Amino acid sequence: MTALAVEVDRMRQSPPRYSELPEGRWVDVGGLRTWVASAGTGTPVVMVYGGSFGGAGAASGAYAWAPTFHGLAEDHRVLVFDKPGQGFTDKPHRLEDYTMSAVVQHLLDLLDQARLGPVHLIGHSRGGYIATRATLLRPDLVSSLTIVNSGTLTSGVGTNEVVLGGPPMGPSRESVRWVYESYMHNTAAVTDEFVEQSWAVIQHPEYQAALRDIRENDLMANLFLPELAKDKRETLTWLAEGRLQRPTLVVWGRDDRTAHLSRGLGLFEQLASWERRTSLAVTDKCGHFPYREHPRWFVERVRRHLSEVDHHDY
Amino acid sequence: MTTETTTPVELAHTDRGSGPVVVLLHGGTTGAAPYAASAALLDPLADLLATDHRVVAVDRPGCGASPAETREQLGYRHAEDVVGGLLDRLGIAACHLVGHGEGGLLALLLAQAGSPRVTSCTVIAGHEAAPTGDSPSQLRLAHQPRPVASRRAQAWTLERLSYTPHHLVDGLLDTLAAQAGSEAGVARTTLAEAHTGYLRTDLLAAKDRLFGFARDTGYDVPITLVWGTHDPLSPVERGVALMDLLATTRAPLDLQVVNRVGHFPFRERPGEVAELVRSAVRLAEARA
Repeated sequence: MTALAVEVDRMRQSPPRYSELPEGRWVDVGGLRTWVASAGTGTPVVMVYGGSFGGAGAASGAYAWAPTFHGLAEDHRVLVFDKPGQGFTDKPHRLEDYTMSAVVQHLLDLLDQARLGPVHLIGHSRGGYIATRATLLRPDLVSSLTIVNSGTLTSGVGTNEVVLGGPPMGPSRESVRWVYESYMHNTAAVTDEFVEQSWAVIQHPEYQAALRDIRENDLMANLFLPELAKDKRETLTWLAEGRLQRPTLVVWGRDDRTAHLSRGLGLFEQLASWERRTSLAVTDKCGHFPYREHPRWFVERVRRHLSEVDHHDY
Repeated sequence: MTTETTTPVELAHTDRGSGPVVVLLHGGTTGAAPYAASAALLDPLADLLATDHRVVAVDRPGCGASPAETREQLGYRHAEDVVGGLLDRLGIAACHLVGHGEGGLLALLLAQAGSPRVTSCTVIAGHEAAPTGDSPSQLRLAHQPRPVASRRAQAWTLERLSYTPHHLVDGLLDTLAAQAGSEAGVARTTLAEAHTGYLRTDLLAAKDRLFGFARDTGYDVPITLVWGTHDPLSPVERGVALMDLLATTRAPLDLQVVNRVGHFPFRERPGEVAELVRSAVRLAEARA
C-alpha cells in the first residue's frame, strides 16, 4: 500500500469509544488523526481537558467532559476532542512538536477546519491555558471563554508536583485512582467507569508510543516544560495588558490542593479589570474537577454564562 | 403590587407571582442613615423573579411600612420571630431565603432552622454576615449631606455605594425620601438614634450566633453567596472569608462574584443577579 492508502485506511478504522460519550469519529487535523465527538444543536461549544501527554500513571481524555457534554448538548452544539498524544489522537509526528504551542495550534487548526463560527471555549487546568492562549492568538474563532481551575494560567507556586509527585504504585488502575483521588475533594466522583476510561487511554498503543518518545528523548524536562515556561510568561504578560477581550467565566473548586483558590481569585481580578463581562464562580467541597465533582452545578453555571453571551450583544 | 399589613405583629410585605416561594429580606437599618431601608430597593429583583416564583418581599421591623416601637423590636431576634410568624400566617411551609446586606445576616440566622422551612439561602453583598476582624471604620460614608432624610442625602449614599448610579431612578429616590421624612420614619430614626449602642451590641450578638453556629454546628441548607467586585462595604475577600467560615455546611455552598457592581448588585445588574438566584433555587429544588 502507498503511504496515502495507509492513511486513508487508518481514517476508515472504527474509532475506539469512551463509555460515557457517544461514538467518536476521526478527523484529520494538520496530519494528525484526531478523535472527535459531537452532539446537540445551538451555539457551538468546544471543551479542552487538562493534563498533558507523558502521564504514565493516569491519562486524561475527552471522557473527562462527559457530564458537561451531555448537559450542554441539550441546547448547544457541543464538541469534544482528544489532544495530540493524548486520548486516542495521534502523537505528534515530529519530536519538536511535543510542545504546548503545537497543542494550541492543533486546537486552532481544528476550529478553523470545523467551520463552526466563533465558539464558546471551555478549558480545564492545562486546557484552561490552551483555550486562553488560543483565544489570544485567534480571537476571531472564540465568542466566550470559561476557565476552570487552571494553575497553568496563573502565576504563583504550583503545588501540583507536590500533591501528585512520587505515586506509591506503578502505572495501573490503582495509580489512575490514586491520581484522581488526590486531585478531587469529592473522591466519589472517581468512579470505576472513570478509572476504566483513563486506563483504556494508557493502554492504547498510540499513547504508549508517545510515552516512549518522551521518555527516550527527555522531552518533558528538556522541551515541553521549558517551552511552556516561555509561552506562559508571554501569555501572562498579554493578560496583564488586557488582550483577552472575550467574556470570561472563571470557575474554581475551593478545595483544590493542586491549584489553590488564591490563584483563581488573582486571575479573576486581573481579567475583570479589563473585561466587564468577567465572572467568578467558586464551589465548596470541590477539588480540581468542578465539572466532575459538582456536575449539575457546573452545567447550570456555564449554561448561564453562555446564554448571557449569546443573548446580549453590546 | 399589593401591600398587606397583618396583625398581631405587623410586618408589611408584598406577595406576588406563583411558583417556589422566595422570601426577600432587604438590607440597611432602621432610620434614614445611611439610607432609608425597605423592600422597595429590591423591586427590580422581585419583579424579575415573580415571573416564575412566588415572591414575598418583607419590610423588616422598623423599616419601610413595618413598625417598631421599642429598641428590642429593632433587634435581630425580633426580626427572626416576626418573619417566621409571617411565614406561618401565610402558610408557607418551605421557602428560599434571599437576603441583602443586613438582611443577608438575618437570612443566615433564619436558615439555622434548616429544612423543611428553609430550602436554600442566598446572601447578596452580606457585609454584616462576613467576618471583618477589627470593626472597620466606614470612611466611605463619613460626610453624608444633611439632613439625611433628604432626597439629596439618600441619592448621595446610594451613589457612593454603587459602581454606577444608573439605577438611581426618580421613583426610588422619591420613595426613600418620603419614607425617611414621614412621621413614622422620623419617629423610628429617633428611636434608633437613641439606642445606637444597644443596636451595635445586638448586631455583634447576631454575628456571634452566626459564627458560632457555622463553626460548631454547620448548615444543612444550600447557601449561595453573591458578591460585587466594587462593594465599598465589603470587598470580595470578605465574601471568601464568609465562604471559608461556612465550609462546615453539609449542603452545597458557592460564591458568585459579579463584576463592576457595588453594594446593590441586584439594582445595578438585576437580570444577572436574578439568574443567579434562579439557579440557586433550581438546584436546591432538584436536591430537595
